[in-house]
Amino acid sequence: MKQRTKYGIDAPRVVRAYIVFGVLLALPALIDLTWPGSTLIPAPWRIGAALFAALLLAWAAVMLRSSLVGKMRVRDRLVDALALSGEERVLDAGCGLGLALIGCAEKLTTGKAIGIDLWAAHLSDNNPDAAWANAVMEGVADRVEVETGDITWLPFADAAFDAVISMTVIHNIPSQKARDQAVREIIRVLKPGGRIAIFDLLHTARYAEILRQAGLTVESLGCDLLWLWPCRSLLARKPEAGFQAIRRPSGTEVFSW
Amino acid sequence: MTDTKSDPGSNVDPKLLEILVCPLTKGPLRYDPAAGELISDRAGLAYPIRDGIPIMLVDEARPLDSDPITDALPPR
Repeated sequence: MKQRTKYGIDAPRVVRAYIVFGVLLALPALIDLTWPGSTLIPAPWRIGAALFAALLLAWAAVMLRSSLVGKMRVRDRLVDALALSGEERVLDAGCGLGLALIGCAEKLTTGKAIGIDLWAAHLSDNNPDAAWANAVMEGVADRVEVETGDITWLPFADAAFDAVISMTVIHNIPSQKARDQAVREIIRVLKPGGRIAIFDLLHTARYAEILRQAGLTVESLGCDLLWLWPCRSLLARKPEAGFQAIRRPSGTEVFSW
Repeated sequence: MTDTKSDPGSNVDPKLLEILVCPLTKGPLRYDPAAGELISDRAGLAYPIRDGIPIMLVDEARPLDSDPITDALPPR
């Protein structure tokens, strides 16, 4: 059922480059190794070239698998952690082609999942039409809205959302100051009692720090390998209105490394 | 299900309008259906709606004191 939806390949240019170089290197090495007279690559380099080509192609395969299989699992865990009952308004901060956005929309009945993105061309060939097409294909278009915006300057009122999700997005922001601002913006638009689920390649410890400074409780949702790179997921809860965040002695906070 | 997203500016979900604010001032926005724009009086900016998708970027917004006709053309 999910196969028809295209959520894109992460870092498509890198994957493409690895495959092209891998094949360009593997072909002459294989020709040399099969035809005894052939010297497309000097003999001492031949085995090395073949091994390097195999490495490039294997790495491209790992990256592809992460995009096509690994991220689905992470998405499902993050969406489950938001514990949506159906009436919520959910924000996907940096929705891209809609993987997390649609995952949330599938849990909604009367609620809405709103995706915002800058649609940076170098990331999975993102564009709003493709995100919308995916939502239509998955039958959740009536529960989805997409718009263009910058997550460091969110165009939403304070406490507009019951839940926020963000997958492999915030690390794309180049400066720490701007990344901190993005996390603070996510906190601002979240209602008291709301939940935030974040998965990212880098900087998750810093996001947790900002979330805690703002009075949220933060827990780890585990660590996944994306491109053989350990990536952390975290769940943050904003205290209900009128309550101060209190660090309980029982130690409900298990987010540390 | 009809895809109304191709009808420019006319189909912004009213529930979405309730929570949308100017990203710069966080102040309220006024929806101008004729121009297909979301106007932030406080920032003096009009955010365009293209193919039903609000473009909430300051860089893409039209300053309110400028001419909407010439500004509708892409810059550069």
